[in-house]
Amino acid sequence: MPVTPDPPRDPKDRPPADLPPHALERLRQITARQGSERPFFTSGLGPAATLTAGGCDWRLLGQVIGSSVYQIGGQWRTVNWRDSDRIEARGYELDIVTEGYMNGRRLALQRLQEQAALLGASTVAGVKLTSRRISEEHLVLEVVASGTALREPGVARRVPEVAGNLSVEALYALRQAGYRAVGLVSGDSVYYQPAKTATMQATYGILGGAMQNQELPEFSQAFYDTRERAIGRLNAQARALGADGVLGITPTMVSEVQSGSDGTSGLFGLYLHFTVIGTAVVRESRPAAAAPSPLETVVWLRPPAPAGPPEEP
Amino acid sequence: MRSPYTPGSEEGLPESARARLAEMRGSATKRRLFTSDFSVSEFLLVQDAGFEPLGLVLGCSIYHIGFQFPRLFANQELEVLTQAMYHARELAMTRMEEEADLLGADGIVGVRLEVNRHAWGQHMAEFLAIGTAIRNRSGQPFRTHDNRPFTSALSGQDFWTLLRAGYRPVSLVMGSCVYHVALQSIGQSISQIGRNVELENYTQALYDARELALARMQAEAEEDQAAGIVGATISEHGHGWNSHTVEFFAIGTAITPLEGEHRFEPPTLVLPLTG
Repeated sequence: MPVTPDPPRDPKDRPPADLPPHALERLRQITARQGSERPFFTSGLGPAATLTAGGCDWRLLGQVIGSSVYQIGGQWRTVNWRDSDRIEARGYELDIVTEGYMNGRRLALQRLQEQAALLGASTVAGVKLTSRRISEEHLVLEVVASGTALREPGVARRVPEVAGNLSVEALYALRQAGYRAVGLVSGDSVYYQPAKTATMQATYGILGGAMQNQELPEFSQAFYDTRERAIGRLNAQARALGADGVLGITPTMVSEVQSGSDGTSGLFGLYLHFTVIGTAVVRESRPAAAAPSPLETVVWLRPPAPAGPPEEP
Repeated sequence: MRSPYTPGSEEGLPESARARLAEMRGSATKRRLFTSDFSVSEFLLVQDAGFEPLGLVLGCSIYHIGFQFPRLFANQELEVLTQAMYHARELAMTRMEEEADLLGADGIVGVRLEVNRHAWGQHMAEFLAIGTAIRNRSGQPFRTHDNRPFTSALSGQDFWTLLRAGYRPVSLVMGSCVYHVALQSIGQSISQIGRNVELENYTQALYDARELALARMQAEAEEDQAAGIVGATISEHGHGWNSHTVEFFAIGTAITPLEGEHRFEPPTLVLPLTG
């Protein structure tokens, strides 16, 4: 099941009916003062970003938010659907659930773009995406995307680009190197993997074969497959934007067990959910050097940040 | 001990991985597409160092960790557990290297090795290796002596600095040791009540376990004909075992000098206004 991304919608083609009235009012107040003697802006970026933006003549316009409360549908096919699934330990993707996660995020980002378009922005920088579950009973998520809209001089874009979580400083460095951030891309995969008999035995206890070291191949493959499918979808979104590459990919993995009905038996199966989010970039020109030149090696006179492998949760 | 590596092997990779990597390589009608977990500065510095990013590569293994009955009053290594912790990491690393090979990479930078334990599996752990595969633009050889892609835990910034200093990374080297620390006998505990005293068996146990892990990491670097190891750390993990069983895990990046003469540039000193 391919989850294909929608092309970005042009907000000017259609009144943004899905934005709340107070948002329209807030944005209207900001736009009304654009070009006046006392222009007003809001920004979620720090002082350094304000300095950089001013230095390269980019206008900070205002904070923009997109949000969506999305209920993810159920999928009734479970381990008991077909006995052969369990016997052969055949895992499968839960496509409706996968699509649900991706749709919720798409709606939030689309509204973020609509708000930015109303401000006349060309780019949204420093985008934060958060998602939380707001119902115990059902799989209902609130997805919120927030960022800061800005306008580059001489760039007119009907649909502003979402420059992912990149700061203004990072955007500036990218542009100097001949690249442009064109969009926030993401991919999900939700997967169910039933356990093989051997795995159930190995996890059952001492009597089952729990003494030996062994790889659990079907789970390795399931974890692997889930990650690969999610990154594959992120690639598809990047391709759809005409990108040359993706930067700053952050992965998030969630897994949940399905145990036997008595709650004591070995491992029955696993639900896996993997999300990747990154920023797609396009190469516009090839300057002489990618990095500013000359680069200097600098020794910072302060204690280094503690390094080391990430701690276990 | 590390198992031999066959370049071009695709063992353990799922179909979706092959499809993703083939799609990223591009074709006559399709452009290349790279993916990475680089920040903008890492991205630009890796390019400045003469490399181009090819793609995010990963390897994973879900491993059932066996069991070994320790003798309660003895300091001893639990070889079954050590073996499990090492073998599972190696499986994940090898799969990541296989993915990099499929992309035609020279090496992988920013490698992270994670061990994730979940509430659902007391004796199970997920081992994950993840990093960004890169390729040298001028086609210089960067692979290891046994034809693996080089691996490095260093960030893009550190990679640039290392090359500037006249070294190249060879491999991510690691050593693991799971150790059972002996319980104190009742007699010992009574004789120590209220006194300042070094607990010799604890000292020796933890000391010994650290040394074993470090020695194994060094042995790997020697095997890879490296000149040294940078960024080495030793971490301690309980992995949900009982309180007297502990893993010491040493990891670092083995490096070797670049061929030819090299001149060090004196660095510029900066007094930061922060921190």
